[in-house]
Amino acid sequence: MKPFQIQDDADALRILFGPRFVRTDTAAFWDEIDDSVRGTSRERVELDFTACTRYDSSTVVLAAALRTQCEQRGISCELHTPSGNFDELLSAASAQPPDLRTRTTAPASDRRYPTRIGDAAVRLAESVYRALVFTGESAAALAEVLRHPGRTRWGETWRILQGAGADALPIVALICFLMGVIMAFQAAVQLHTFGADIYVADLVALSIVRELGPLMTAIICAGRSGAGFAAELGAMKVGEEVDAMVTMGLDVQRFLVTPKILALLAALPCLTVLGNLIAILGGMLISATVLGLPCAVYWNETVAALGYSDFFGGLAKSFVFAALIAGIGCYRGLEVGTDAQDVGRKTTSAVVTGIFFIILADAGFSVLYHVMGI
Amino acid sequence: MRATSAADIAIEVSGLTASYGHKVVLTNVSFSVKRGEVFAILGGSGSGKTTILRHLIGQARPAAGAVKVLDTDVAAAPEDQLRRLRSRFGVLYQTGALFGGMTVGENVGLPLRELTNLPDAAVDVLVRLKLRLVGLEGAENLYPAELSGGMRKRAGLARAMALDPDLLFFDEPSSGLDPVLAAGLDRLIVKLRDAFGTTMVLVTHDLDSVMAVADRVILLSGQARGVVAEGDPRQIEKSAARAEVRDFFSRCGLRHASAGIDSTVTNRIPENGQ
Repeated sequence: MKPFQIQDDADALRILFGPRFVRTDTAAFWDEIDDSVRGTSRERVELDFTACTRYDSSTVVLAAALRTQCEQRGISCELHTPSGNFDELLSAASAQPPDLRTRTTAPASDRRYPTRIGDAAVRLAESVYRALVFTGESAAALAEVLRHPGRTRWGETWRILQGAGADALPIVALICFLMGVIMAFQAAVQLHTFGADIYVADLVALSIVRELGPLMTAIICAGRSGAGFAAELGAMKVGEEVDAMVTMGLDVQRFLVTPKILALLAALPCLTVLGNLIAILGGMLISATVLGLPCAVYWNETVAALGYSDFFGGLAKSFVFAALIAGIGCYRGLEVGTDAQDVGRKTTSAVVTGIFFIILADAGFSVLYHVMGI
Repeated sequence: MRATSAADIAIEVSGLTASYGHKVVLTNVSFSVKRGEVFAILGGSGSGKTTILRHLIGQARPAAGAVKVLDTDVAAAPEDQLRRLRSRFGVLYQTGALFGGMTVGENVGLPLRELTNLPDAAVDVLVRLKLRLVGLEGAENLYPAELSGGMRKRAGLARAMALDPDLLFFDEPSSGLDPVLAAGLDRLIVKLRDAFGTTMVLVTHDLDSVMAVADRVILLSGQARGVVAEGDPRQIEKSAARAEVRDFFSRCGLRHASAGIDSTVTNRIPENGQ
């Protein structure tokens, strides 16, 4: 049985609400009741809540909505309310807050194109300026480490090194191994047709050590540590921990940023070297199994193919990548405002920006090495 | 089969022992809250106030004893029953706990949209109604970051009340508010109780607010790991026998004189907090 009755009498449409009409009933019968009032041709609508002792604010909202509808159509509406706070709620539900409309639209800023382009340009300039300031501060803080090594937070650096270095080894090893396997496979198919099987070793060694080893390791680290740094600092910003640090007179750069940059500067080159080695082993495995090349032959060819400049050229990149990942991660983390969503946004941005700058720097290195003849 | 007394008891805690790991915070705590009552859980820092609150709202399970909220045994109830129970009470967290990515209106409307089938038009009006009740009409489209601490609390209260709960929990309602705003919130609590008959449970150590609004209190003690006083706060203040209770209610004699405290006491600054 429905918790209400509709009586369509000649003089008026009467809706009698039962003793219990609560949220679930409002949700279930809103449309039905609304339609009956909307469709009526009577001059008068009577809403009788007198029997309704169990109601809640949704009931009141229904009553208010029906009454408003009648008023808009010029039908007279009679409302019989039960005892209790029904009337009080009804007046609260019906009252239109006077300033609602004006406040609903956010400060109407000038949205014409020239203004928007100008705004965007100013914002861009500001962000470039902030990034430059941050870079300068980071460099100064790193120089400070060399001048006063005792003031650096080595304990903190060590803790981060554990997380960014040792803990990253399994995933770096796995991905580099697979990369070596994939490259060797691709090279084996092509070179075998020319009978140049042995050059698989050269190809894998050179492309891994010079280019792909540092790049892949850096991208993995940007996803792991860069995101981690940004989220950590972002959460500290939201919790006002960074503000507390500043008011204590502690230097955020020295306290939070420098240890992270130092840790990654140590971790990433080590990971890169290990990753290179494991990728070469992956290539060796494929050559041995698919091409039947003895491992010793493969190894000798690899050693002969690699020069010092290849090894150190690749290693030099990883230092730059490390500084970029840690710097961008920290910078984005410190950009976080006051809410949790911002942490997510800036963490995403830390990874995206980080990878972008890694690729950009890698392109720069390619040109540089070409000019230098390495 | 429901006993007559059960109808007017909102919360019944019997023999509650609470522990974090091996650290026992509360032992053998029993009290009950009547429907429509403004009930305060008092206690010094670290006395287990928040622990009790966590047990009442089902965020922690008792090590021993039973917690019954609105005739549901929180400790033993299966998950779906707990979920139904949760929609019958609201919690106002210390700083409001509004979702930062949503406007005030979306925050208040969230439980209505997610947990009921009310049409959108009804939800909008309900949101406006709730905000009006807490004195925040017109703030629908502001973000929590744009609100002051007091407004954030009131918005949190509007959200806690969205589903017309039978029971409202307040975690430190007056913390971080100036005396005027705190008094405003106190008045709001009493007004809402009178209008809706909602049972209010306050976890606080703000004595002024307790004296103003609470019908009954329990006082927890960290040393005793349990309840050391129970009853009408004004009575306890006058006639407490335990030194610990007297100290709490008189702020070690520093509290501004109200009924029953000799005014000379308040002018004497005690040494070593004695």
